[in-house]
Amino acid sequence: MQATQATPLTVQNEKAWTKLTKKRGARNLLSIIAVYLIMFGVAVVVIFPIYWMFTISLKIPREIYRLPSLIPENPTWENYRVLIEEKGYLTNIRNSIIVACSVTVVSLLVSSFAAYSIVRFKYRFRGLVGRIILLTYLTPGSLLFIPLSIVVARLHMGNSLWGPDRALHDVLDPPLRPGCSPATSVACRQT
Amino acid sequence: VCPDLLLSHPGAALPATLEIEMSVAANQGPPVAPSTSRLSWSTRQAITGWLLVIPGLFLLLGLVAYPFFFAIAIAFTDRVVGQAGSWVGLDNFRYLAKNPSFIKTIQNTIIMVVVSDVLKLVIGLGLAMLLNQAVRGRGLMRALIMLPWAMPGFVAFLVWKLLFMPIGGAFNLILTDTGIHTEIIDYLGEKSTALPAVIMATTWRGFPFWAISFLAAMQGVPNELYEAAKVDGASAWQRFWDITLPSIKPVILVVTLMSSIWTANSFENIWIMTQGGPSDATMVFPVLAYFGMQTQRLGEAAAVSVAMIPALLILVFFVTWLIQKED
Repeated sequence: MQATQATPLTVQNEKAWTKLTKKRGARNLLSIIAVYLIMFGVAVVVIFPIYWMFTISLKIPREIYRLPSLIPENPTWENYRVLIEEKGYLTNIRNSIIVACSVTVVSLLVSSFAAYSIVRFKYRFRGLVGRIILLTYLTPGSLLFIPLSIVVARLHMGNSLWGPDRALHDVLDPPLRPGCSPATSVACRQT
Repeated sequence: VCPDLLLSHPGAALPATLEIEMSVAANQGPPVAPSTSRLSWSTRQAITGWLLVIPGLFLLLGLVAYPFFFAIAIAFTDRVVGQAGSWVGLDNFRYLAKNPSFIKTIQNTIIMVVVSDVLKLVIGLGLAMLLNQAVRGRGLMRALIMLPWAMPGFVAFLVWKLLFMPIGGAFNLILTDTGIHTEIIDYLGEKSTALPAVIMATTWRGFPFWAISFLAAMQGVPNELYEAAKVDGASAWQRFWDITLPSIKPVILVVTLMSSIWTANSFENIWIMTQGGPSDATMVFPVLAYFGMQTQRLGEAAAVSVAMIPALLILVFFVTWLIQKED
């Protein structure tokens, strides 16, 4: 590699180059076919599970268990009707939207402030602060749900949007922590 | 599809963070403006800087640091729901060491992390190499392979539960219809197949993060290196081994570390697919801790999750040491 940096493009070099590219011609077609075959395989692996879930959603239980098939024979939207009309789907969606929006707003605000501070201002322990934020990102989530559930119970937020059932662990904590770090990184990159 | 959009996905952006945050000390502030206030420039810098970073630190203190130490404290008590309990020293850990479920949990976690990491490394590297070439449709592929990572975890694992169902599941259907295997297998219900099945689903969900991170790193490798190597007659394998791998090594290390931590801590995959069964064949730390919480014995439950801290610390320090050695 060191030699090529200084080597001028001599006739010999040029010959070697055309030989190289000619040899690649035949091989190219094969490798292109191989690449597309692999890409097709990957696409199937990614899409098939999602397709399977969708077809199941169009089947009634009898068809799922009695007549299993890759393509639903009597597709029906009945499951979706039950979901929306009888299962309180709209309430769930409303809850999700409220939680997602508020978490996004809070973490965007907090983490963009923090990122701007770390990148733009000079003060002692600035590097340390960055490292601490990173370290909290690596803290195992499974360690936190027991204490957080105790905290939630203590604050009597158990059955509210602040901490439904499986607690703050699900609602506040994971979105906020990853939220802090990637947003920091994005802000860092842009500056 | 805009590749930039994909590359700015939070997951993909992460590996770069580490380097940036670690090199932060080298960054210089903006030029000094003539000061009109009594405070010096550096004091004002420090005050504004701290004011901006304190809300974030405060949140992390409340949501991560406090629960973290609280969990460790609980692990040394016989706390149950409704009673604070008293200090019992190492009793909870002694109890765990004799508990067969806990031994099985350690085994399962190691197998799951190692096997799924190796699979994701191979698949991720292969896909990144593939999508790093100038082939038609690679933009579409980049978007497509993000699907498993982008969908909510519980949806992804519900999908795989449907695939593995003994009756009405896609795998059994395909195997019996094509005549490859006529007996119906209850993948998630049999001891021998449950863990491999869960690992398969976990790998499916996790590989996009690896592939996209590696792809982003590979695009940062200067093209001149490859051209020079080509002229020198280096084979494709040599170019991969001597140029690509060393260049993206830091990203590989960071991605492996983070993915190992996520996998060791993953709750959704096991909880949705097997709940740790059959007879602890897929039991992992978070699920065991959650069962402990359901039986209201918080001390023992906390001890389960605290028991994995040393292993994780070793992992974290090992990889940070490797990264610093690289620099």
